[in-house]
Amino acid sequence: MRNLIIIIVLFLAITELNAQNSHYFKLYDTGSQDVARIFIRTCDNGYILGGASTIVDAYWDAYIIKIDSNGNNLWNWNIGFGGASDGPVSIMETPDSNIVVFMYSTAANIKFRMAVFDYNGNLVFEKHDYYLSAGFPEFTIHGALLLPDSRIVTPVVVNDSILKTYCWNQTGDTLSSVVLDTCRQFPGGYNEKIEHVDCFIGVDNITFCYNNFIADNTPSRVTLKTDYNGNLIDI
Amino acid sequence: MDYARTIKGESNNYLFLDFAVNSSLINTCLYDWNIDSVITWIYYSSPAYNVLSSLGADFISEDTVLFCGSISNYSNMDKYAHLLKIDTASNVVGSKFTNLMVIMYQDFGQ
Repeated sequence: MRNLIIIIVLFLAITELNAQNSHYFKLYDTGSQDVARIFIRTCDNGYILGGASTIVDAYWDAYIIKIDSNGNNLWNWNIGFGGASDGPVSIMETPDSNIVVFMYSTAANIKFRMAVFDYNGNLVFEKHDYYLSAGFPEFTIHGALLLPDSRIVTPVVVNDSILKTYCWNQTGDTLSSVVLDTCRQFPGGYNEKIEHVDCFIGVDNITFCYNNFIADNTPSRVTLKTDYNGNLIDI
Repeated sequence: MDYARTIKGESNNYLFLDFAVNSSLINTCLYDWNIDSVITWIYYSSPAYNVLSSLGADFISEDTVLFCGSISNYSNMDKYAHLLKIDTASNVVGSKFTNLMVIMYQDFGQ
């Protein structure tokens, strides 16, 4: 039996976004194990489908496909490292139609990867790095937002317990970073984490939603807002 | 897999999904930033299937949410794509699943 994972997310997006008069159901299959994770619509009414594949080796590699509005495969990239798992965390299209992909990675000394493609699928650049933040080696990226002034904001969790945002330009340079929250510590030694960070852009603010531990040993969903520079906004 | 996530709705409403609570239940709450409170809880359990996942969700109107995920039974390895429309009062507007997309299920790690 072929190793195939059906793309449910694709079904949703196409059914809803392309619901005017043409429905279709297509499989995008490398012949190995494939899984879809992210789906965005592009300015040309096409789509970027981001997922992971084991087409190169036994480890998951980030894999993206550009498809047109009829579901035809225009280009695709396997952008993973051999010998380690990685996968897309966020995909965005810039106003000049570049595609920016942020990825996690389990490769040695790498926690974060960024790849940029032009409209035709040519790799513009790829950057990977390993951040020692506040002395802690653990660094996980949880998303990305494109601000109106072209900066990119990524929420990250350091050492499972510190929520930070990093601000980038579109060539992958770090512009700034700020700590937003830390995980509470309780008597009894609970070793809890900040998890499931989502972020949303507003007219003049960014909303972060995440699990943290406020009052006891069960997680609470926390919502906070900042301006585009990371300054907290009170309710 | 853990599907905990947040979906942004109209204005300052946020829908918190937490699949980990119970695999037989879609369980969400709607939070209003303006009053810093949970407005309502939204639940769905299938009358025919006892394993539900919600891979994604989005508001399709101010008071209606479309969930996309899979549905199956403990006793059966087949999974079906599942689309669920439900309003914020937990009334099911529509629920569809299709055997067109039976998943040949594998444990793919993450």
